[in-house]
Amino acid sequence: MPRIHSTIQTNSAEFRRYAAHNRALAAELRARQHAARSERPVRDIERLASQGKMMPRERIEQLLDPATPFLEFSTLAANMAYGGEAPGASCITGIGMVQGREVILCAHDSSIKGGAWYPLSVKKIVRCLDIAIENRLPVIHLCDSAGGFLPLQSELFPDKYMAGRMFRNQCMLSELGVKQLALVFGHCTAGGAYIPALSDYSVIVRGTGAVFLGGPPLVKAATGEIVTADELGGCDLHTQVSGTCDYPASSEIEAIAIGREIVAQWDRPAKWPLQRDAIEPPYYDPDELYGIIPDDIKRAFEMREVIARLVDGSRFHEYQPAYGTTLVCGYANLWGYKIGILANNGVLFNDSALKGAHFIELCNQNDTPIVFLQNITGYMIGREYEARGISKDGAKMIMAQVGAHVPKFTVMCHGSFGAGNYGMCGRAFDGRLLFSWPNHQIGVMGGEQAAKTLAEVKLRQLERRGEAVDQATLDQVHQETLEAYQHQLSAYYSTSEVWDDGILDPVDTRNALGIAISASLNAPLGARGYGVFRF
Amino acid sequence: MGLDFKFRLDTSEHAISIRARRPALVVDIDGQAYTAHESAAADGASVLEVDGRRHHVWRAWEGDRLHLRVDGRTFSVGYEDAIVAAQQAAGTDDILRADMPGVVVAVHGCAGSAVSAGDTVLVIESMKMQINIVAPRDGVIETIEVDVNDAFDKGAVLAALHPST
Repeated sequence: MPRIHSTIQTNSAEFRRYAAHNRALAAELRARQHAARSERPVRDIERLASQGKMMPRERIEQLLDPATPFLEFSTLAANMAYGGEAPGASCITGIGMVQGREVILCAHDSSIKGGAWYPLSVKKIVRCLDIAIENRLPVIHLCDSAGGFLPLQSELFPDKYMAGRMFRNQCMLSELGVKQLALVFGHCTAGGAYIPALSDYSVIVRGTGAVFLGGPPLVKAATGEIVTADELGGCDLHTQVSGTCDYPASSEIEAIAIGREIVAQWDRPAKWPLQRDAIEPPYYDPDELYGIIPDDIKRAFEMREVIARLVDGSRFHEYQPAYGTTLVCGYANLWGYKIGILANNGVLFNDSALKGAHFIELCNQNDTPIVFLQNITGYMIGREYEARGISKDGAKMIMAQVGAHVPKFTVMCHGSFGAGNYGMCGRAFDGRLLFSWPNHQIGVMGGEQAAKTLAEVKLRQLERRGEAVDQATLDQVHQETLEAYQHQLSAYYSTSEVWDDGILDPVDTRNALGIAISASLNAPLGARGYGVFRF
Repeated sequence: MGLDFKFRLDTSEHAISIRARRPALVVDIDGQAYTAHESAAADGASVLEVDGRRHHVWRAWEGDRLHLRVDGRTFSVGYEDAIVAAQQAAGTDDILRADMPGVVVAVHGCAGSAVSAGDTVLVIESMKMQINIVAPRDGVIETIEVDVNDAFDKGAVLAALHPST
């Protein structure tokens, strides 16, 4: 396969400016991740220690196979919500290795408000269980949660994708034959009691672990019965009397050791055999990505330069290199795995949309997973393009993309605006995993256009009401809208709302995709089938 | 006969084509036929028998380079991808075109300016996106057909390089 010929000039002023900008963004990302992972008030750390509990991340470290990677999801979930009170949305999720098996870990973070679930905690947990279902990955629940955060219960309890969905997803996993293990380190109260109860295996720590539908205060209020947590739903009650939990453990370390041994008993279903060739590192240094990504969201950049820093040997078999050139399509290997790539090199035209649809179909028939690299301001607009059927050509691309049965992965490399997000497998389109880069921005339109549109609306409102219109007011509306909009466009807002599975330092993208592709092979490919294409 | 494989040994290029695979490999190297047979050696290397002469061979790939140790001498052989070789032979397009309709934002250089491959010649804006139009190869600008703020259609010629000699 031919190697991409890079024309990046690493000594140019532009490269150096971009590199400085993007390295600063990466450093900011690392700092924010570190804070969300590790910075806790002393009183919370001391409280856990006084209970004889490990910090949640220590538990994960002990549980995972030594020196194996852990692909953490949505580390910065809720970073812009709840006044920053729930770093990581009070839970830790990701793909790791236990006893040589790829598993999903879902750990409640009891170092934050007793591990109480905020609305975004529920969203993040449901998402990780969706990932488990879609990729047929066993789940290990590390339970230590006070239950739903009551002041926000209306935002986390009643709706289809809220708390009940966690348990629905647990049942779906079981029906699919995907194993689940619950390690009960702390309390599993109310709905939380169903996590171990719906798992195939559970281990509970004596003294600190407890499972009950209503905790001691609720029992007292309801029936007047006075009972300790341990008597009500502790280790011995559930492992000796009720049979709700399976294995008693005298310490957290023992619980983890038993858990690892349980996982070792599980079968290892064969993965589907994606073509895999010898692994070759990229010929071009992935560090150069920093100098390729522009410092301005309006700037396009050569996506082949990005591909050259993600794939094996920087080799790329480009499909239709001369047609629909604003969408780059082709085959490559990543960590040896054969993949198809669709990458934006400008606005999507009729020909680029048709090429994309056709290439997706080729990948689908060839059982080749697809990676989408987004930097898109939309499909081309204007009378000429409508007359040529840009809307129906875009629809073909979306139809092909949704109907594809192969695993899909998306990386938000820069902008994602308007309908281009759909064709390129945005969040709504069931990609197995979706990652963003720190420079990423997303919205139905760019900030400047939104501000102009809303200032225009404001002007008309004022005119209708017969109020005086002065330019200063309009400028203020424009500026305020722009600032509010910029805030919502940012990658940090996006990841706060769990619109992605996490922000990646661009240089980590190859590794993250490698883990994602490997994990995706656990789920059998579904039947091929398509809806109706409008020709 | 199939496509020739192209290899580079030091500064010389060699074309290799495969005539037969069984019972023994027969290859044409620069027009001369050789019969080769390979078997494993006890030390993990291999024994390569070429036209009856036996050689002790170690090999390691490094990207497109194959490092060979043959009878105590080391060779480094480069493999040339067939597509790349053919495209290089054909040369690159000297015309810089617009992939989409838009407006010129910036012009760098003028007729007669020397450029290196990857140099930005023009910056255009279309659909809220700014795009660099870069030189496809080292060369000299022959013409720039547009000015800042000029609008153009899809496929318009924006600039051209002097044809390479």
